Amino acid sequence: MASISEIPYSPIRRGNEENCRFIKCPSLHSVFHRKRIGKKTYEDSCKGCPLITRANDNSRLIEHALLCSGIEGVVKDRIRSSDNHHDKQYREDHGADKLMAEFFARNQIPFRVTNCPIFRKFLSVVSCLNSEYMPPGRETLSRNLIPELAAKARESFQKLVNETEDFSFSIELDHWEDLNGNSLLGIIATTNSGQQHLLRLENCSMTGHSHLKIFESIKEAIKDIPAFEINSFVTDNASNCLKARKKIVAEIDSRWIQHRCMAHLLNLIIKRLFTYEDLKECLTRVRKLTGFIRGNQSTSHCRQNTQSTETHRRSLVFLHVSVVYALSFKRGVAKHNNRDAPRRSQTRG
Amino acid sequence: MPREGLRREAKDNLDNTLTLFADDDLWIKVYKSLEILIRLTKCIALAERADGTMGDTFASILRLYEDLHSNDWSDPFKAHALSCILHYVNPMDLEEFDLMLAPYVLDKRFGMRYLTICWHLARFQKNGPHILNVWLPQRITQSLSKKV
Repeated sequence: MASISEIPYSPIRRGNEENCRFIKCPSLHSVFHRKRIGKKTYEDSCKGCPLITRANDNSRLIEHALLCSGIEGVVKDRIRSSDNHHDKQYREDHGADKLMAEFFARNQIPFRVTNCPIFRKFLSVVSCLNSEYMPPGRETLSRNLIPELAAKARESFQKLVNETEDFSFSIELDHWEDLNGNSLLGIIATTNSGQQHLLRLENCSMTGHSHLKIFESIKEAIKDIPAFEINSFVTDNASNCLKARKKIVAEIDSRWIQHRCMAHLLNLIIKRLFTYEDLKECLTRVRKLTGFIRGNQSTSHCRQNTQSTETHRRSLVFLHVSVVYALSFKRGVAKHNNRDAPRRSQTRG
Repeated sequence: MPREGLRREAKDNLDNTLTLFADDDLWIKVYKSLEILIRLTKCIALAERADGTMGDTFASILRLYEDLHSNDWSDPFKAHALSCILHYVNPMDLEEFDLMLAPYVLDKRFGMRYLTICWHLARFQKNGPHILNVWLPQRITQSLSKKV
């Protein structure tokens, strides 16, 4: 008679009532025989002893498998080493949930995606291939995991502050509006090596963004950084930011270098350049032309067709579209030039 | 007939667009404006780069200024572009001009190539070109002042 450890792990067939799968812990398959008795309930019978249970609780089944005298030590070791991977403690230790939260935070994906049925279905399909991981929900992400990540980032930043040399941080701040019209204020600390850390992100739609409010926010944000570690202060050219910057430099440490954002300065130059009448007119005409090309049915159809091609997609789009545009416009211009010319007679000799 | 009216309107629209497209003046203007805009956007790209420095950005602005300055001033657009740059990058309005100049001058890569332009810009300052006197040895400033 073959021992339990020699029994091969047979592939699972869904819908087979006699041989149902252990969802959370596949290795239990070599210890228990599972039979479906309801929609989500199973009856598990131990292969080493006459125990029959309807507990459906993996932790209890694992506990029994480890204690059962009829199960061989090799199987027990396998359960200990591999099957524990799927329990909660393992997930916490190896940080699957944290990695998932980091993935969402870094790519700025809305948390509601975790509750999307198609995403969950995709993961369940993937999990059939290898593991049984299911992602945490939106609430867990926003209430527990993301704050944990933020706390960890804050901790590492504090460590960096303690380790770095004097005058090594540059503080930058900016105001912007999000898609919902909320006014946001972001304060960032940049190290000498170019590493950036978000110190504060504030929704100031209700509180307003006067220079005093900004001053308070900056003060709150840099309270953990010693004054001698800050090298410079960078803001854009907005008057409230300038005032707040000057005030904080005057009040805390006058040695801090303060200057405005170079990219913003250049952007202002470009904006001023566009006040030139000829350039304005030129822009409106070019916009009209591009609008025509985009709105034209035949050109958009060509564009869609080229975008759907499989091979050399990117290069083909540009090549094909430009050729098509050139042809259609050439024909159009020729037609336009000859519109008043008499039509060629279609009669044949 | 509404259908005919629509057709006529579409035809007029197409005619107008084609006239616009065939207009050579438009493309010349677009080319001229893009010539300057591309240079300015390159300056922004330098400023926004993760490893970009203040010296690099300031050098690129000075390079653009030099190109425009040595170009034909009869083109009103180029004169306008020059005035736009001078409106913002001058020591009278830009408090950080000293700070922008210092990393440029101290960076050996640039070899102080555009120092004459800096000198020109510094002359706009109220109390004379004290920036250069601070940052450069007296000998160089003296020789520069002779040239200017």
